Amino acid sequence: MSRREPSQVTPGDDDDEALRWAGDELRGGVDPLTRNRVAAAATASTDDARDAAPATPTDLARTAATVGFAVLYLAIVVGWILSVQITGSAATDLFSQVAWQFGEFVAIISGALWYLTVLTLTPDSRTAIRVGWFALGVGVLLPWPILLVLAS
Amino acid sequence: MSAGAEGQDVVMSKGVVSRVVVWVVFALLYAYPLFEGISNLIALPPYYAANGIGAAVPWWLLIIGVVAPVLLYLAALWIGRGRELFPRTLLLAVGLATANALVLSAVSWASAVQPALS
Repeated sequence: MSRREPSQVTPGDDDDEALRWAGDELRGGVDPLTRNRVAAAATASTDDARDAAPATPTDLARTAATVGFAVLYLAIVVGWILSVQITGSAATDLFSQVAWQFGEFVAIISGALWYLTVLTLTPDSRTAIRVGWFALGVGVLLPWPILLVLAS
Repeated sequence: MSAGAEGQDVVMSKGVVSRVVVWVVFALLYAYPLFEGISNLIALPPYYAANGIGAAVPWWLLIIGVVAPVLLYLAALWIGRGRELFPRTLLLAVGLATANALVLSAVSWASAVQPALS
């Protein structure tokens, strides 16, 4: 993004004139509006540089990992759907039953939530970090109730 | 100038209020898996002892059941610090779902490793 220095503003430029105030030069030559815009532009340009830096292989690996883990997490969700069929609460009072049902429900959606959260919160992180969070989730969220039944 | 600063204060305090509301609501939701973990920790050892398998108490599962909800809640707060309200809420929701999944896993492991009652 190109930025026009206040000092380069030509007297005839009405738009820039309108955004400037008398005395700007005395306060460092940058009015608050322009200063904020410059800061935003600077951040954006470094982001661009960082995004542009990884070459195609990294992008490919990143996409492959993201898709691969999507399949794994789908399997986890299916596993939990099967798992809650075989777990049950011995509690008889209403509150305990509702709480137990809620627990089973959030266990079912835990895989989807974890996947979407990693996807949402690591858009700019390195691929290794994203894959690390994905892998941690798979380890933690394994649907043991159904796995133990299948293993026995 | 002062009106603008006041407006900013109102926005900031609104942000703090909604953040605290999210913390409290999720603390209540995390309380259930924690309660389950604590009640298992208290009730299971005497039950095992009464059935003559007191040596086989799966302490590590009982400890996971108590520690996991607390650790996940704190981790969600820690990872969410400095973020917007939505990511904070999302992280707490993931932690809650994980805590409940871990509780169910721990229960199924406990019954899988439980020796046959005499």
